[in-house]
Amino acid sequence: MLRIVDLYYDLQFLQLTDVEVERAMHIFEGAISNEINATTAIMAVSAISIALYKGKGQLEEKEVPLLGMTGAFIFAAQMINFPIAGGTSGHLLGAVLAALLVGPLYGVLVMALVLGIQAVMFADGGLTALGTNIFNMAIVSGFSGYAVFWIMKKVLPNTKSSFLASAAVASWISVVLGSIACGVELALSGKGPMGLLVGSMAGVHSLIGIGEALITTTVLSLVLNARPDLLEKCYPNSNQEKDMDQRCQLVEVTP
Amino acid sequence: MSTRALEITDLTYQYPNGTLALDKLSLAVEANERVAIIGANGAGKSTLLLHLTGVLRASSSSAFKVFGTELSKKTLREIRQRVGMVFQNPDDQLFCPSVHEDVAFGPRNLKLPESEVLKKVEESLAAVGLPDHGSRSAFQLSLGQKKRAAIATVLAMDCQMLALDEPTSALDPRGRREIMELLEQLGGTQLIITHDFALAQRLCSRAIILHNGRKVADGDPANLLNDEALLDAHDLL
Amino acid sequence: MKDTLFDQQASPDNFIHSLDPRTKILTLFPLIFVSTSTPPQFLLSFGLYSLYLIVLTALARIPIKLLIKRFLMALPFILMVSAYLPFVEQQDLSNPYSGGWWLFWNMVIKAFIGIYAMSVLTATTRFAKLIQGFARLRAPQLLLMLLSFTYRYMFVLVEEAQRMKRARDARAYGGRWLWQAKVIGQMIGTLFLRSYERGERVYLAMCSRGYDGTQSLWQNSSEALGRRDYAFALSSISVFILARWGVVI
Repeated sequence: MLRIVDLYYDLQFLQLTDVEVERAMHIFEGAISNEINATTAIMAVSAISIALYKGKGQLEEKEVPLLGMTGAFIFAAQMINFPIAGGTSGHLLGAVLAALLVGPLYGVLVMALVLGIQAVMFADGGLTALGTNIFNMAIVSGFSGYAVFWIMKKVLPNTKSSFLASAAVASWISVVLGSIACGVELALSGKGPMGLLVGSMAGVHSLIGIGEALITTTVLSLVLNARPDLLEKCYPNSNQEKDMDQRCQLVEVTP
Repeated sequence: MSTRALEITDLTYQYPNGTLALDKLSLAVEANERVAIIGANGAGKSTLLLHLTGVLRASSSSAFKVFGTELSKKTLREIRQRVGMVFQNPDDQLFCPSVHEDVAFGPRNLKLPESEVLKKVEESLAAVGLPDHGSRSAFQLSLGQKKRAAIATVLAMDCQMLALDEPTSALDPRGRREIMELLEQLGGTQLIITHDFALAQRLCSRAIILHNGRKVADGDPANLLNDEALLDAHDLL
Repeated sequence: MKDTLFDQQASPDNFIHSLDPRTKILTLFPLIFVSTSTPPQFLLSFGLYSLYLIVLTALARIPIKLLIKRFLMALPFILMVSAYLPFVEQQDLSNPYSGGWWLFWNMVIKAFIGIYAMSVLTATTRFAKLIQGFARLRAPQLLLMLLSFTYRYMFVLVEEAQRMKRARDARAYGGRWLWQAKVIGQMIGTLFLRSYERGERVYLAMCSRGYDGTQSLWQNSSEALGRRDYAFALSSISVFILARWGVVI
């Protein structure tokens, strides 16, 4: 366990000694009023329950390990910091990326898995605030980002560049909206004036959002090149063969 | 005549991108025989293994029999139980929170009663020399221990044949020796895909060399693997 | 490196470590809820919660180093949303316990208790046990299965990310500005492709051991709680009730 903590700790502090601002969105105990925590917890539980209920009937046997793996991937990706400016750094949130890779509903589930493990195993984010954290970083970010993506996809021509542009705008908005939700909750809990909290949260995260957008689009274009079948749900136009079974066969067992 | 452990006739496989991975491959493995499959990267070893797991299906013109049972959609479950696949990267095989649960995963899927499952877990972990490591997480094991734990996960299935993909790759000399001793001691039918010539010569009674999806040599490992002209011709030297 | 693992096998007969995971979940989770609901001016209550956790730390012999690391890790993020409070919030004259300093104290102490309680839980309970505990508390099977996959592979992937980062830095990468995020995007993309293909191989490994989508990763028997578990849970809960409601300021 100590090694695990070491690993986590090293990644947070020793690798890049910069101040990480993104984690400001991980709320701890006592920051948000009990009423808001309770409300968001109910919403989080409902979203997770819907995803699980739907998953129980529809998740193919293969998707269970793959969803778990996506959660592990989001966790690991969040560990990689990117510089913002002058010694501060942020990291990927991943809500839009997850939504595009596994669909919006399972995207929320995957983000909730990551946040839950962070809260319990790493004491990163409070237990009573877990509902709020899931609400901000999984539900608000994931659904709003996906909605923006969906609308832009309807409006824009069906090309690779507009797919990536929609994803970029969606990821930026997802991070900014998530942080605004966080600011509003803090203000409603009497932790300062609304304008100051929302303004500073949104201000910082509109910068982080640029990093999020850059990373998300880079990841997506890489996946489009190597495994377009994985983005079939959100970018069905790829001319590559569509048979999942056939792609599966290319899994290498030995290098 | 007893049934052969594995009998493959005219197995051909072409990947969707056009690569011919297996070209009319025929081979047979007798029961209780330990056979090494050797070949350069891209020779078709992996594709052969994917057929054994039933991910790839043999075409109708070929035959793929495991202990006399033809591989088909219907027999897939049975064959997966009979063939214990040990993957090259043990992290792919150990997916549970603890080693104990990983080893128990197979027997539980066979719907064995829990007392039986526990017995199997203990026996298998003892057989690979990790009797006290059940409660560990795979994350806490060394690569050699992980490889042995991966073998335990299939031993617990009571499979009739082990198919191992590069069991000694990336191990230090001690870990490699331990794996070799373990395989020797386990006995039974074993199909070992390897680049480790010393392992093939020490453990296997027969070696099969694949090249471009074809079987190019089949015989005593000591002869084949010391034949420099043969090895050179098939990109193994 | 592996010797420094926080390993319960080192003390299998330790009282706290050997408690049923359900007992620990059902005492430490409520502690966090009780502490969060306590008004900030109940200083004695917070003192008692801390004392309770300190006693557990001593009983379970949890390395102090680990706890300190965790507090230090969280500190900047707690301060980020609390340190400004004394400067922006004025005291409400009708309420002596309002104002920025009390708000600040409220957040810091509750975050402290929360992190402490969570650390005691995870430092004395293996993840596998914890999942088993949740399974016995009837948490949804699919959720637990997904959690254990996520937890199992996140370290594998973090190590992979570390290797990639080392390879990147070895080639003199020195990213200081936002537009260099693209390089990081490529690393993360590669990480995703590798992790997805790993997921496919894991699925194969599951199939070759008879998986068909219906099984769980663990056994679903429900062992009864022992007398020690009841004793521990009852005494803990009474301490919380006493500390929260029995203390008069």
